[in-house]
Amino acid sequence: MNPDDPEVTAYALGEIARLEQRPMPDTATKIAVEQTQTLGAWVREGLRQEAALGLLRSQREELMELAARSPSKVVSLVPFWRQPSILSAMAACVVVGMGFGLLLVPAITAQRAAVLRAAAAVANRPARLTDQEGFRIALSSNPEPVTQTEALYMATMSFSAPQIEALLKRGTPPMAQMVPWTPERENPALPARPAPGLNTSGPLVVATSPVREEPVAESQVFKIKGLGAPSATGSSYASRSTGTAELGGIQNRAGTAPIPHAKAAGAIQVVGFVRVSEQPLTTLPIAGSKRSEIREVRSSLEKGTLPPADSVRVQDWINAFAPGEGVSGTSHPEGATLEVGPCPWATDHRLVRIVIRTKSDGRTGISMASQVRGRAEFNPSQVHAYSLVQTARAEADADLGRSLESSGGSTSTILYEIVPVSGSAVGGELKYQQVSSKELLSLKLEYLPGAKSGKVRLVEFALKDPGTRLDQCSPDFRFTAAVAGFALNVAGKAGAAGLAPILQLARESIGSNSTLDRVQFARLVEKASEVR
Amino acid sequence: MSPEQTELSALLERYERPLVRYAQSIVGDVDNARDVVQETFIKWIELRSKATAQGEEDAKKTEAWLFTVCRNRSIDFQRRQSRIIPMDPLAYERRSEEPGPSAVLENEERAGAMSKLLKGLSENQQDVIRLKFQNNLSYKEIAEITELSVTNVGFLLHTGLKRLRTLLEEQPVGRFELPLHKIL
Repeated sequence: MNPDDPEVTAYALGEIARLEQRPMPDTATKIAVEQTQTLGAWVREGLRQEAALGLLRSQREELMELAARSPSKVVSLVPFWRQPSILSAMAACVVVGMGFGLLLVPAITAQRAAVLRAAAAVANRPARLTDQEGFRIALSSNPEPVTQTEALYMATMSFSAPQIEALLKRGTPPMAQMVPWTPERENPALPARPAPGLNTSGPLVVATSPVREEPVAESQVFKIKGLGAPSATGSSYASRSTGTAELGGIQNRAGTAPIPHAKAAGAIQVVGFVRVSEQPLTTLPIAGSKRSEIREVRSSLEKGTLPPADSVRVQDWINAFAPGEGVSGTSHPEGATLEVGPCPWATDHRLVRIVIRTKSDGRTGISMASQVRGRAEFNPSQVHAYSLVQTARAEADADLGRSLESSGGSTSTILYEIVPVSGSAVGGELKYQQVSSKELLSLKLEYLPGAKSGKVRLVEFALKDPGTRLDQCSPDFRFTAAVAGFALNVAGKAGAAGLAPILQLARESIGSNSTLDRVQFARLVEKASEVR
Repeated sequence: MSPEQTELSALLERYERPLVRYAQSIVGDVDNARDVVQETFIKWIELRSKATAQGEEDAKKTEAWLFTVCRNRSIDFQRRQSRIIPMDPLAYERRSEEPGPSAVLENEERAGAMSKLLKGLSENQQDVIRLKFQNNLSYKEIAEITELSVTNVGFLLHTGLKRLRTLLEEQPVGRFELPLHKIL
């Protein structure tokens, strides 16, 4: 009998009680068992002596703070599409063959991206959509505030019957645009016409369609994306529409006062600004998250010093703390989120936040970095000048080398500080406003969808500025602004905001979204204030 | 302390070090391993906040879950790393020159030799050997964590140990204090 058998090893290691084939082990087998046991004990002992380092104290503290902020909630563990009301609603829709409304409730969780949960929405089913209509989303306020500081709004998504068909067939989840809720607009009209190029019978791609034709007259482009993997049987559309959505402007957070603005230091700030009339196009410095940056700042502060001013790279700090796609590490559709709001350190300026998401094949397939290149074109009738938020010119130049290859499955956040044409700092060019588009900028993303497809795809986004106040901006925006403000402050940049308002801004953005990044960041600013 | 914190701190007490060590065996660097493990626990916190205590969760189940998430995060991290184009080629060299804590190094001679020896095995073999002998997990748990079949795990352990034995034979005499006659 051959003792060289996995079964013998399993027996020797105590995994199985006896050998099936050999109730009476022969001598050779007995020797093999003994050898394996000795070797196993020796390996065990050798590995036991390997250093077992733990987490850093600060990491442990961060975890404990997160745990304190994430009390367990009793929630229904039944996926919403299995809830009887939804099932019957879906069944009705499929049978009747009409578009159905899916009421998506962004549940406030500790997640980076809020989970959309559907509630029974049959009563609110919107009117039937025509086959030509792309989609429709209506937002309405929820009478029941979830917490005292947050009101919750619901999104109703409608799809036409052919789209439901298409959704059943396609592998990738739908994306949709949403506009922020405002009291004036109970039922905001989204592009009533299908976005150009939208094929309602084929794959449904909504948000990635150009919005130029009929731009959403708002500052934010939201994304809804599916989470559930398509099942082979295509059981239901709804199982694929469970998803996450950037909550941004949907939340109307009360009690968040705008931080006091630092006095704009005009002359100094304008260094690094590029006039739109001279150079309207700029390449986005797309870079992945850099955890090492956080580490350096943290270790520096633990030693009781601020990091050297000249070591601060604002864009890296922003990306080190930028919200990712949740810790699951997979993000499905490519896309961008754009938002504009006040610039905390320069009253007359506005801050444009662009988040680029790149695709990852996750851990199932071959990981393939999706190559992404982004270009922003500023509108001279709206924007006088723009500047990448940075501490040194060299910062951006160095970043450009990475534009094509961004790390897979990550997000890249880019901040531009812009001088609006209507701003008092410039003036005199108001005549353009009347004749041209009101868009601040348009963003073009070129990307390779994957290793197999050689076709470069182009998507376009447009951004308008409705004059959003800081307290109306998304928590992500405020958080990113706080990180940028902190970086500029540590770098000793003239005109930077003080640490106190930055800390306030950072603390406010923790509230509903207590990710590690935010807790970590607030702690860093606190420590920096102590060091100062 | 809140119940969540109490639970977390018990888990940290028990698994923090084994997880960092395991993550380090995949990602190489201890700082990155710590980040991976911190993320693992964040994931646990998030899950804990959603699916509340529906009876005490089986501790063994939590253990396997932590190792699974830790492993997946480590592998993801490793994949991302390999795609990053270093800005400064020296940065990597500098990193590898960084000395670890010296106290650790002194105690680690034998363990270091063991790690080196393990490097001669396939990644899969190393993985199951670490999970089996360093973390005392059963074939079934290892199969869950690595998404392999139990048979496959058994096969990898068998061939891994066999390979280890061959490698030991090739070592200079006296390198390891081991009753070689007993295993060779």
